[in-house]
Amino acid sequence: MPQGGGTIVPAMNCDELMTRIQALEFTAVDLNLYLDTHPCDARALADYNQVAAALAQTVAAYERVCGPLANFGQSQSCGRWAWVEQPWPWETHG
Amino acid sequence: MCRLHASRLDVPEYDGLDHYRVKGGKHMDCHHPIGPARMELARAYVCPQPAYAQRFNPIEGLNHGTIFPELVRPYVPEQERPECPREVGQSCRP
Repeated sequence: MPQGGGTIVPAMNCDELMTRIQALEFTAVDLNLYLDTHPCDARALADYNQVAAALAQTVAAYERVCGPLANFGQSQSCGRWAWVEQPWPWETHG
Repeated sequence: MCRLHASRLDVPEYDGLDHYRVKGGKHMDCHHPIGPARMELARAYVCPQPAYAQRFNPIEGLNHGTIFPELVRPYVPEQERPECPREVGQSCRP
């Protein structure tokens, strides 16, 4: 049941990638909460794993083009130190 | 909590922590007819959710605040709610 949670990241600009990351993270949280009370639901678990994979790919695509999303060793900064160059939450347009 | 019945003449005293107590240090009965100890205990529950059938795609889920269509509860400020017919003895806005 992909429903937009597929694992292929389409060509997007940084704002679009950030919006997709936020949407996938929200879906993962909601599925997480559902699975907390329905741990044996195989369809929900499959969806969760698919969304988690899509989220990881989208985060990787964002960081490859737009810069690191996390610091303290959670993301690499390629070429130069770009952490402080990322937009603040109020500077994003997603 | 709520193990011991107290005399109707005993006035419960709040101990500053989590209990109302009566003379002798025994816990107050929750249904004691005197004072705030008449209050019922709060009860938390998880409403049974229908089987996992369909969900919104990630973008729709983010916009709705849930990935489950059956859980969509859009917030409508009270002043924007449409007026409904008022009948004697009934509240218009439950």
